[in-house]
Amino acid sequence: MNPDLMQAITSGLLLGFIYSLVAVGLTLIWGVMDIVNFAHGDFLMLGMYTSYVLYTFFGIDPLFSIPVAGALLFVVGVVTYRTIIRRILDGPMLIQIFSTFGLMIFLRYVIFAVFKPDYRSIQKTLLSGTFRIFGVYVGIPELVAAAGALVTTGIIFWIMNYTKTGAAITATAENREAAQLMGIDPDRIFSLSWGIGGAAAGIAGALLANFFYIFPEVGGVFGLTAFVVVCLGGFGSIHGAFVAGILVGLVESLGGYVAPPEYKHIFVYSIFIFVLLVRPRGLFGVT
Amino acid sequence: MNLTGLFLIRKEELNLRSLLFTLGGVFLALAYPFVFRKPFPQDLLIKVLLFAFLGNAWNILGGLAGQVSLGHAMFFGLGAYTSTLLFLNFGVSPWVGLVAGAFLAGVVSIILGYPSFKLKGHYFAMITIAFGEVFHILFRNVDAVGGASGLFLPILDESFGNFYFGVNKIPYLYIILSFYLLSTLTIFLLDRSKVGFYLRAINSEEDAARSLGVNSALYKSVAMFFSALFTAMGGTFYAQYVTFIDPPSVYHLMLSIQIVLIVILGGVGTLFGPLVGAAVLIPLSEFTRIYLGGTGRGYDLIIYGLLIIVFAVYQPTGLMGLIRRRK
Amino acid sequence: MSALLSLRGVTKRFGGLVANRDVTFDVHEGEIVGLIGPNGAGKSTLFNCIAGYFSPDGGKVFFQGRDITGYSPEKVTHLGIARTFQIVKIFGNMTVRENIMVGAFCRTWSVSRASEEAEAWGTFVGLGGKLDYMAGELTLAEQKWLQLGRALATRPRLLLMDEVFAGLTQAEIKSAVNLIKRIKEEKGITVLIVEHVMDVVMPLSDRVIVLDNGEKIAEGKPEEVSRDERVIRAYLGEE
Ligand SMILES: Nc1ncnc2c1ncn2[C@@H]1O[C@H](COP(=O)(O)OP(=O)(O)O)[C@@H](O)[C@H]1O
Ligand SMILES: [Mg+2]
Repeated sequence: MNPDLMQAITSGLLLGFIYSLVAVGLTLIWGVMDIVNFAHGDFLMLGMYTSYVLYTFFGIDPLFSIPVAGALLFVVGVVTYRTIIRRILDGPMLIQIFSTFGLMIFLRYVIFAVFKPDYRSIQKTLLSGTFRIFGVYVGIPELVAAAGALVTTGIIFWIMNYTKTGAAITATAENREAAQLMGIDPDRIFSLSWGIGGAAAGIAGALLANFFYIFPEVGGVFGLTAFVVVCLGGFGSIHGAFVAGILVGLVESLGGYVAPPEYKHIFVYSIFIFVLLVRPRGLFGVT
Repeated sequence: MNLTGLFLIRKEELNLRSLLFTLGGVFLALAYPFVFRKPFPQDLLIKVLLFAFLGNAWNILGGLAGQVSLGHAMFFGLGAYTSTLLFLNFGVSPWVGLVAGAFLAGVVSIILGYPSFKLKGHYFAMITIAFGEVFHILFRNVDAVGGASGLFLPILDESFGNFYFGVNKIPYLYIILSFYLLSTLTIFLLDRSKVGFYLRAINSEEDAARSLGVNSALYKSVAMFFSALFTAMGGTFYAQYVTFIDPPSVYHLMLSIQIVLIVILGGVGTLFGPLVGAAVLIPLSEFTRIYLGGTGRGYDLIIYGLLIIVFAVYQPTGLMGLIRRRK
Repeated sequence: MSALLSLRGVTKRFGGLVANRDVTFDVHEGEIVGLIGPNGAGKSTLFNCIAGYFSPDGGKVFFQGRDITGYSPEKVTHLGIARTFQIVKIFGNMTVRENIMVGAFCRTWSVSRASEEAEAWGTFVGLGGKLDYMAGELTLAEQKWLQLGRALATRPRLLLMDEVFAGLTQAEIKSAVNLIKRIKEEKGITVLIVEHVMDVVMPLSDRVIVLDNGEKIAEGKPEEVSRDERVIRAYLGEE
């Protein structure tokens, strides 16, 4: 096979695992409470800056910042729920959209004001270098990030499917009133979903920080891509988001291979538009 | 959703007093540049009126028909680029370009809107983001339309026919004032016509509206058409006023958001909400930019973000809601 | 006498569930017809197939001899079929008058004309004193009258009503029955009432059609139908 094509497929796959993780966090919140978190990409951005700050000021390698970012963004998620989301849960749709939009702008430009718009990156990390296999170059940080994303997605999947907490979340998502009758406190579940959703984005950000440029608006691209993934995978479906994340990673990478790279996002958005119009329940959803 | 149908002037309020009030406002706006002769305050009022105008345009679709678009920058950009490209390539008068851009945006809005209208709520909002981003990327990358470096309008003779007045801001002010008044009058008339009733009914209970014979897809398209048309006019005005356009300034998602924000702040579905919202938000962002350390630091946007959150959580009916509650 | 509304073998499925199976009946001009059956019998589904909200999977719907199968709700309304909703759907942030005006606009572009009609129909359904109230402030019964007035303002030949009596007090049911009689007698509008409770519909209807498990199991004069074995069994099975 054409080595460039192989290369594109490999990069797409590696990126795809990260997209899956980001989207799993988004789709979880969405499925549980029908709220779209427009600030999700900026949670990821906060995860990246967590690594950046720990590295620059404390010399901590980004590899070890991953759990810190996860924990921090868990807290950010919970606080977001408790201060904002809880109050607009039953509000008009426009208000629901705009409250998280407001949060997105706020987070993005606080970071902008503090760290300036500069592109930053973390140099000289434990993970660096590339190796070559079957004629394809694989970056070690990319590979580790993809593996980390896969593991984290797996953990979330396990929580959702094999723990009592996961069962409670699923029950609340399916029918809030019924769950309440079963003694589940929806408020706690919502809070927890925001925590897990935030942590997923934070961990993804910390994984990305090993090799990706860090700048205040980085969440925009990842946030929008996460919407595409969620929509493709079916709103609220975790395994759908997982598969769709990999697909979108591949589409983006192959799009950049067949057309000038500047257009690669057009492919992604086109899929998004197409799926919304033709299969609004996602590729794997039942219609 | 119950934010709408709040149009400030109901029949009983359409009396001599509110008419005088409106005329007084217009007179003040006309006299303003003779009191404030410096460029900065004049520029400020022009921007306020431009965004009030864009807010009005958005309100036709978002406030009346209840369809939340987060992609209105695409119509703004289409207006700006159509008139500018027509002028640069064929020497077409910007006034003709204005009409062409508005018409083009209207047609595009129907082509994109008609299939999208079956999507509800969040999903409609998201597809408009996607459309907006596609336009943004295309214009950033196609060199025939200037690509990432954008387009400059050359210096022309200062005349109404050229839609160009150099450093003299007064004509720009009067032009955008008339655009604003035109849009306000349109909404006012639309709101009390059959179309307005139908749009409010669709907004409130689409199924019930259809059971009463309302062709909802058609009327939503009508709303979207007018909304896009006015937004594109704003784009041409912007291009002529600033004489430079590039994708980040006219196609950016933040522009779409800013338009909606102004409406939310002022009051969704109210006649004067966009003006009130713009009159608060635009000076606020200009002044924070000046006093909190220059452009490009994003302080104004931090305040934007906070304001949105606070209003969403505590004052969802906007400033007009506050004003009315006190009565 | 040719039928105003005819259903011929109408079938509607939701996945594996057959909500309506091969339903055939006629409604004639000037009748009040009751469509009854236990909960889940498929009445609302059939209703929605007539009113254009569902497209039947099989069979045809004719109105005044015209095949209207699969027509959109708004088109059906323009042809002269109006409906009310089981779960009331009023425009809560518009006044009573404005609600009815939306209906009246079906036949006119004139705002003043629509407003006059709204007054007339508002008064007809007993909301004459509340024309400028916000619809959201009305009681459930009043909201049901409003739905009726709004539907009537579209000037239908046929009025479809889904569970108008549900949730009403005895006194309110009485005035609803009166109103329906007046709709037929004074306005000459044919009425198809969907109802789950038999007692009210029976005396009101000229003819009843009984659905059970998606199928028509009986049709005829109320007194005949209420003696029908299968009907009694269907209703007993429900208890
Ligand atoms: N939109 C729908 N999707 C799936 N099943 C439906 C839908 N609407 C109704 N049903 C099912 O069809 C059957 C008939 O329902 P319905 O027509 O509402 O009955 P009725 O009005 O006689 O009480 C029920 O079993 C109901 O669950
Ligand atoms: Mg029913």
